[in-house]
Amino acid sequence: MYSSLLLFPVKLEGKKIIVLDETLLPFKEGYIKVDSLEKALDVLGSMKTRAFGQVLLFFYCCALFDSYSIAEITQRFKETRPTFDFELLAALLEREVSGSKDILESVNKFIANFDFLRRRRMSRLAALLPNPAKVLTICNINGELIYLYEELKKLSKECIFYVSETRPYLQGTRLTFWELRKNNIPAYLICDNQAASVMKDGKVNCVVTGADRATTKGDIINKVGTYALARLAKYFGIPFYTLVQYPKDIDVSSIVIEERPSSEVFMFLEEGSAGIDAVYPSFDIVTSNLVTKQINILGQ
Amino acid sequence: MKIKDVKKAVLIWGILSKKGLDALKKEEMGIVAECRPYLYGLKHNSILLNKEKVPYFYCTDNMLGYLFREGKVKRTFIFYRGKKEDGFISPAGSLYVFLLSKLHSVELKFFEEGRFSEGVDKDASTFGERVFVSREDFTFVEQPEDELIEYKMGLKEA
Repeated sequence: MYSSLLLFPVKLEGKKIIVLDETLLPFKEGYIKVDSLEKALDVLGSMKTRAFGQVLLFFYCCALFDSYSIAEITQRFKETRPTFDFELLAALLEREVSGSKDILESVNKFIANFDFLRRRRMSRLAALLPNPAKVLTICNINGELIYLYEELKKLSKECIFYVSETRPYLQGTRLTFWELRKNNIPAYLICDNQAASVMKDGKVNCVVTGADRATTKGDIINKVGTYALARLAKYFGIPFYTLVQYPKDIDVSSIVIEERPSSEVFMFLEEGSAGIDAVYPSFDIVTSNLVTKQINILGQ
Repeated sequence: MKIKDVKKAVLIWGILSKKGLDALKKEEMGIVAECRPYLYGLKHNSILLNKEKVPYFYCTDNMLGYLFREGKVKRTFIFYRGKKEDGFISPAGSLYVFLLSKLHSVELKFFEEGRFSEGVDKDASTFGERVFVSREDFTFVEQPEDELIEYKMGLKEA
């Protein structure tokens, strides 16, 4: 049986939200108790959780901290991480709540259904990938590559992953490579700049990435480094697949790209970085002309 | 530093040499990419530019696509290690930088690499002494090798 802590990195225990501190992995499995909105925002802003974790954190905050409206919580989350679409989450939640009136019940229902949907999404992707599937990926898709591996196995397809380390936070190394290897799934780690080399040598035959935002036209916003992969994949004739949630009919260029502090660029380095000025755009835009197929959470 | 404050600049890839430094001094600003896993950007190029008071900004390798897409790269300097009859031998990541430059119509210049005396970490799973991959998984780390940029890919000596 395959598993990953990252499939559900945020959980609810009584009146407290328990957040897996992803910045400690793989060295330590540590958790943070969140009992206020301020604490939740601190956890979010300091990247202790991200991706699906921030979805869960948002939903649980809406369920627990009822002195704030969903709109207020949305605004505070958006101010903390401006690129992610918390307004979309709020709309999904409002729609669920309107039927049952109980936010927590709605949240639990939504989460259970989401897990079913993401597994089904991987089943659709597995059918599209070649045999053997030699998959290049970046950042971390919260355990979903494990689902992909299981689905490929069901189809008797061989699979190997190449994981781009994803500087500066190293989500590729610390999260994706770690969770795949913990499950004994064949995976190789590469430096981000080796992508062209593994493509040229035929070590990969497809690219699979998640997306923080997506448009109905097929554009995505995802971790910085994704654009280079898409552009290079196009050059080498390698298909580029994106896993998205709920695409919106919006102009991708209107989305604010979060820039994080310079100091974070050096956070995992041993060397001193005094006096060095760095840029840190967190996300890349990848336009639809570089995307072979967008697979949304509804499996379409 | 914010992206909006960044001017078009010259990307440095590999080990900056004296000749490359002289060429860079004629430019307004440099971009020092990290150059994993060796960290030539941090351990050599940034130190040299600080010493020579040449303005630059730093970025990780995976941010280069963003900078190319935003039109922030004016020119690329690649520092090669050797020449073969079918192309240039350059440190890991050179192909990535070369192709991104070509795909964004950014001018490329090649220089012989400089000298770098300090021992460098050539392990893709670590940063110096800090190890990110468990011992049993070391064999699953694709250790970087020098790369060949071929003339047939559009390489031209400037």
